[in-house]
Amino acid sequence: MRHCPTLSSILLVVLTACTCSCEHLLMEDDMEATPRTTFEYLWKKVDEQYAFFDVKQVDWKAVHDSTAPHINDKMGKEALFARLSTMLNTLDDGHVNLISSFDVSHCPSIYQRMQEGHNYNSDLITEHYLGYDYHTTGGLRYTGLHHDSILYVRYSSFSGSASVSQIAYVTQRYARAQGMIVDVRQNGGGEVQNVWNWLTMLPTHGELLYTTQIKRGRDHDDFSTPQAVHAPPNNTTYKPYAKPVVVLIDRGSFSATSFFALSLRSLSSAVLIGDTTAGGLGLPNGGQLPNGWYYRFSITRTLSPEGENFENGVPPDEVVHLDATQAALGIDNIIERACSIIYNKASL
Amino acid sequence: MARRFTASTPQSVPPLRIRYHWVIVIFLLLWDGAVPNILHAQSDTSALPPLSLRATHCGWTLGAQNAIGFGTFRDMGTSPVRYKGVVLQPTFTTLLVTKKGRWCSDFTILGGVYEDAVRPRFNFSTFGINHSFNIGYLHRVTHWNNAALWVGGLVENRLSVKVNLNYENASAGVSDLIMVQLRGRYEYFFATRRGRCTPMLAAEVGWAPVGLALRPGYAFIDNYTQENDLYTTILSNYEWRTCLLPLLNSSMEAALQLRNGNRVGLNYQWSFATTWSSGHWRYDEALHLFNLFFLFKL
Repeated sequence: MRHCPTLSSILLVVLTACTCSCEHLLMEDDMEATPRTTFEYLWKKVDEQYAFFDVKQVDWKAVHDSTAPHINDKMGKEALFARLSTMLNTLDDGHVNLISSFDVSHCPSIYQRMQEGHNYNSDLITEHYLGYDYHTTGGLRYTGLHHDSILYVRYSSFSGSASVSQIAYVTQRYARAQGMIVDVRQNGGGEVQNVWNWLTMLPTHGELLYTTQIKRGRDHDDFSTPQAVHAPPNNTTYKPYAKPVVVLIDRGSFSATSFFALSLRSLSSAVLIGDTTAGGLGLPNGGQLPNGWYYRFSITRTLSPEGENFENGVPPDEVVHLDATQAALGIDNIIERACSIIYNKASL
Repeated sequence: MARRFTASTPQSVPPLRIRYHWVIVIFLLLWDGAVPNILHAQSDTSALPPLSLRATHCGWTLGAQNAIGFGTFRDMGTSPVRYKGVVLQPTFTTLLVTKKGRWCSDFTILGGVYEDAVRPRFNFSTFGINHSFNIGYLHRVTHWNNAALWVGGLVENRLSVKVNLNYENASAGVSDLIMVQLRGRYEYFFATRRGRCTPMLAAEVGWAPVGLALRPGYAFIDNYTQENDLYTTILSNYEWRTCLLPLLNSSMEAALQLRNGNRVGLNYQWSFATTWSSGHWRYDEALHLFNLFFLFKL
């Protein structure tokens, strides 16, 4: 077989060089980053993946038709951002945001609603309950009430650390308390993992807590098969907290805090009192727009074991509103009600 | 060479004086003794295998490769924007070379940092980790004195994880390609004096006619809701799809085959992997790598 090495080498080098430049042919060109394409891309993403059109009662096609005439390729970035933010805010969802390098949109109605009821007064808590000499372990601030017969734990954000060992330490430190109050009012959420840590430290028996589904198709009601979520077993060396637990919630309790509240509804060892939470029971999904801005919105939904969708708020077992008159006297009637529940349960 | 021996046979010898007889006898004895040795040497030389075979060490070889380069990817599941960045890739290679072919296996880990192409300001927002493993066989279909051509196939799994914390619960985008890859390799050796190191050039071209892509579901998210069931949760939300021509790659290599059988060289690799399709399923990744490699014979 005749072989010309020079020719072969040249051919191979040319062939290799040609394939090396193939990616420019094979990869699609970047999408144009005009206001029009950016708007259409965002609208379509929400249309295909947002999980709560049924709960929010939003006609998303009508939103498109009302927004589109205001979008043109000559508009500035601030104007485009404002239009897209307004479009997203029709969803009335705290998990929906548009994020650019110069601004972050948020849903104002949610923030207004979170303050409704005024069920939490931080000055009242600081001056008359938590005090100034409270203890801090991770994201937990805590003290003893009524001569240490009640353990009061203020957990203001699920982004704050609350590991199993930290929760166990806090409960051990007040081992003589008859029960524990976990105050998650105005807790805007954070890490879902911390919900699991709390549930791990409560006496559970594999109860069904909720089911969750991911938005899977283009239709607004096209979800995956419900996935059951059960109470986690305690595989740690720490004993579950067997005494009564009362959890305080309000309209400022959002996202992971609503997951926490929904989970506790299935557990007999905990009582929810206060006001309905702000909801936020979908996991927010992030993405990017053709012009580089980021967005996020919920693409999962969470249903109670009975099939109820509490996206707009998890109701408490017992509704208790902060009494302004008593608050003026330095009394948080929600905490006092929680104390009486604990005393009653402990005496049984 | 045989003609030279024949021509050297004296045809007309002048009468010799007796005093030279012993010299001639000694010369003839030496000549007679030398000729078979020369013949043997000549036959030995003509029986040597081609350089392309001699320079290839048969047996087990282990290799370590370290590459630096740049990569581009676009994951339509999260963004229509291309990302580009700098990558590092160590590779561990095992070769078993026989007279007819070679078994090969590569274990590769790639790490990279990427920025989006819309606002390239060295603002690296995405981290990437790729892992690939392949095993296959290349057959030496033909060889010449200085060159050899290998053709074969590999089975390869290429897992790509791109992490962008801006995507929250969809921060880790996973793409997996399982492919059957066809590969051709051409090697050219430069003749040198025996005993010296042998420089060589090589080029490889590979393409996967068919592959299986594993991608997240329609909504790009890991809906982790219970940590003790994480893997089940992830896998239940991912989708499988077959795709045609998911991989193209090529490489050029300059190496030095050392006297002890080891090999050291530089290599430029290009690869392009894609799931094709469209919408959220589309994932493209191109890599350009400059590779320093060492192969150690066992």
